[in-house]
Amino acid sequence: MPPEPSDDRIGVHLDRLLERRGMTLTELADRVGLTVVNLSILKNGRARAIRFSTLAALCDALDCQPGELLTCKPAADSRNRAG
Amino acid sequence: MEPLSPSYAATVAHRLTTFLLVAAIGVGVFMTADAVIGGPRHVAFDASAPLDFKLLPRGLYPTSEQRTGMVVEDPTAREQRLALAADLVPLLLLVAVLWLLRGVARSVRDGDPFVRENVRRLRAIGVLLIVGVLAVHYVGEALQSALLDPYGRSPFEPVSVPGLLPADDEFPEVQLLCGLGAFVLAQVFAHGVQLREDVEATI
Repeated sequence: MPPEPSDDRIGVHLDRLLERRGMTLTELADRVGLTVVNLSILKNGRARAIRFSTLAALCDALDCQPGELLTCKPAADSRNRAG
Repeated sequence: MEPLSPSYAATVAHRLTTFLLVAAIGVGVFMTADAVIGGPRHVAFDASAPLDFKLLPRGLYPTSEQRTGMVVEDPTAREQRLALAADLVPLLLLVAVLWLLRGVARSVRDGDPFVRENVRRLRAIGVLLIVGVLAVHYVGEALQSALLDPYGRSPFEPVSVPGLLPADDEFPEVQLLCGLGAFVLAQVFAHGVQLREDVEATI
């Protein structure tokens, strides 16, 4: 069984972090120098890649680590093998 | 992704394909209108006629028949229709290819060539150049044979009496190669579209 595409396995928890910091998407966009449109793409899981510079700017603005912003779901085949 | 600023070459290419497209359509409309409302159509075609050996110097002989132009005096309505069809069929193919090419040229002029529509257009051009050119080639041969039918022998009968045969048109290998090239270019554009989508989705 082929592994799931990696795009679908990466979760972006921007909503949770914005709520924790009491920040809006627009404010975050201003702080990191991105457009609201691009941040929306990231928030809605439609991004295919993120630059390290963008990741670092987001972590600075949200005062978090990359592991809090991004998580990786286990691959379906390894989950099936374990089960 | 911001479109690139249009280059002069791309603008010229777009204008040239537009001009050729309009000219081809104009020629087709004129030919059709002339056939419908004009007088008897001039019917001319190429044919292969056997060379008279007696006319040649001693020791020389031809290896093929002589290609020559023929004009029909007082063509019948059927002959006029056949001649018009023989002219219009390749013209329609040309118009279709130019239409698609113009679309590609317009997107290049606008600085945004790597779009899915161009992949489809280039594949369509490839199909037209391979399948269409072969169809035009054989339809043209059939039409020429039909024109020759009242005047000579069928090309498939044994030649015991000299007669007229359809002119031996060259096989369109250049157009076929261009069609293959269009398919390859379509795949290049498909990769370009993929790269563009990846870049646009990179934050």
